[in-house]
Amino acid sequence: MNHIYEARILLVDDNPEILEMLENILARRGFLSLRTAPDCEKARELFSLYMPELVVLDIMLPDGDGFSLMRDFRLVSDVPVLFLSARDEDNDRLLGLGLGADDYITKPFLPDELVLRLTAILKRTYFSRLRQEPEDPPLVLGDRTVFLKSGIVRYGTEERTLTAKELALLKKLYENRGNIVTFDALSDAVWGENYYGYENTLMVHVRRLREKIEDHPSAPVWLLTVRGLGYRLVRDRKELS
Amino acid sequence: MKNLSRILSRYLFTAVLLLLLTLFLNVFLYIICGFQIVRATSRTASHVRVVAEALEITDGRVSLSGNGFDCLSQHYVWAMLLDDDGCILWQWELPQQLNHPYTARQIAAFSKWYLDDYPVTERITDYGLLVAAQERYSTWKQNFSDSIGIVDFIAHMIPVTLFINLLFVFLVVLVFGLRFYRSLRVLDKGIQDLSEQKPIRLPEKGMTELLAKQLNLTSDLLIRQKERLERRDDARASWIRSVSHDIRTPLSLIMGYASDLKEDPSLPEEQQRLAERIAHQSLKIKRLIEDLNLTSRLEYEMQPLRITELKPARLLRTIVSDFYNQGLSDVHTIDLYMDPDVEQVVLSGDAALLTRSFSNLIGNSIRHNPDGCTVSVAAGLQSSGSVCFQISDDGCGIPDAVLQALTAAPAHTEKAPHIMGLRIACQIFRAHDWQVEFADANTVRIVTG
Repeated sequence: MNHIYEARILLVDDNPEILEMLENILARRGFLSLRTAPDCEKARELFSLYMPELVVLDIMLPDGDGFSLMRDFRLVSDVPVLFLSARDEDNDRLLGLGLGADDYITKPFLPDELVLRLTAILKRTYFSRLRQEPEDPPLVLGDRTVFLKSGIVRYGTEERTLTAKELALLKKLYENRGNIVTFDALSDAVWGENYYGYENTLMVHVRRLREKIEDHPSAPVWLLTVRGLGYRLVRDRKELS
Repeated sequence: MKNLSRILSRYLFTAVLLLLLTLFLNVFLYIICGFQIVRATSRTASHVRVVAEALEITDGRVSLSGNGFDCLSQHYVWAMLLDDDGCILWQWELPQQLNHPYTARQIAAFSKWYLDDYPVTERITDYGLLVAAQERYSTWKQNFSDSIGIVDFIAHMIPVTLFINLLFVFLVVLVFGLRFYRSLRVLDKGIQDLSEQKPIRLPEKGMTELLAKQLNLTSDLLIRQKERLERRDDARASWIRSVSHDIRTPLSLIMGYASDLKEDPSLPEEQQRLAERIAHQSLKIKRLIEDLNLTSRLEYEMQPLRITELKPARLLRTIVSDFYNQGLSDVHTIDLYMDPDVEQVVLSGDAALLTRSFSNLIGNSIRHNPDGCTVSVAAGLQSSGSVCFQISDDGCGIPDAVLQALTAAPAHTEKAPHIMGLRIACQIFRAHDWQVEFADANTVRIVTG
């Protein structure tokens, strides 16, 4: 398989209309190799013949259930499985995921969501090892450039180094750029779980970080405080204006 | 069990108190009666003394002065004065058959008992022995004499007998009390089991037979009622589950095809817009079904709570931040006020469900105030150690009909407006044993248990 769209996908559902719709949706999104099965028997037959690279499974099938079908498949292969079920109870979801399913979507579902999740599973399973990790692009904050890998802030010809904690803070904010990151989440990122309670310590680190990335640390424009909640790294220049 | 011991000790205390009261009453009555008897005896003695003192000898003849005669005629039927030889010196109204000299033996006999059935009283005077008789059968005479040893013994035995009596009564009361306690203990256990909805079958015998019978009947009735309720709840819950399950598949088709149509470039724009509306409404139905399922599971206690330790301050900050991060419109503001004491509080709860209920409350304020409002979320620590959350807004507030529907029993909300989100929020808090209170149309207060 050179591309995720070449993945062989087996769709198992007792409702022929759902099968037809799934086939249409996936075919329209570019998936080339699709097979459908309305029951366990047909699914087992197709599984051994067709050797799918991903299975979309319903739980309630006329001659068995999706959970045992998945167990059977897993005996011979590590094929990723996505459950697509009308059963939305936590127990079913937990059972499915506990058995090693890669995802669990409840009906009714948004076709786009299904395709996104399915694509994510395929990428994770078949392309993650092959994919080259692209180097994080430097973070540009106005006239300053932050190299997250090395923890260096460049401003003209001047360079300053971020401490490990400042870098951890900035990375967390960068991962959620544009969004509020709560004090708790920032503390977790820097000191580990359930550290929060020492707001002042966090404030000290944020102030030092601002001294390195802001032109006017006392009137920050990139790393903003959201009163009572946390901090936010402004998304881009447009937002500044 | 503690109650039962209290009942038994009270019973013993009451019995002993009753006994002591009876004893005191008896002593009191005895003293009163004794006093009366002593008074009566001394009265009789004083009468005969008056008569004796009124006797006088004039010219060798015995006579009676005026007040002596009055006393004699008032209290006695006859009288006589005997000399040392037993001869009659003087007599008054003496019956014929008694008018004779008396031997020492006769005198000794009547002084102890009766003379011809007349109760007589004697008194030694300067002139001889005065004998005065009262009406026949009017007085009971008795003589008492015993050794000093016996009298002493009786005097000592009175407190011992009293003590033995008290001990005996106490033991009898204790034995009866314990028997009573044993039968009550069975009843007590039965009532306790009944209050915990356990079936009971008490032995129907002894002094609590009737009570046990009634309790057994009540238990049967409660069990039948519980079974009926459970059957009805199961039927309802499974009906909701199966209906929502059956709706999911056709709704998947509607959502799937509507999503496809809205992106189909071969369709006119108007039809794409209509398809988008179908997709949007289908999404609403999907959420409704999920809410309906959750509310029914919470209602019938079929939703297990995944209890973990959670920090309420962290939870609220995450919820409020999520609202902002998901794109809160500029006309809406959510302010979070956190009491510093709440920062270190750790509660037990289902974080996912609690997040959902707080989000529902905040989301409601935002959804129902499309022109904008400020939502205030506050958390404070009470002196009892409970955390009080308050969510309020300056918007239109919850309509009265909705507030009424929220406080009414579920069976009476069939005609209520759509309040699924609020109802679920309340159900989740109550499932955690937290109290929910709508202080006014704009303020809801939640206090942890």
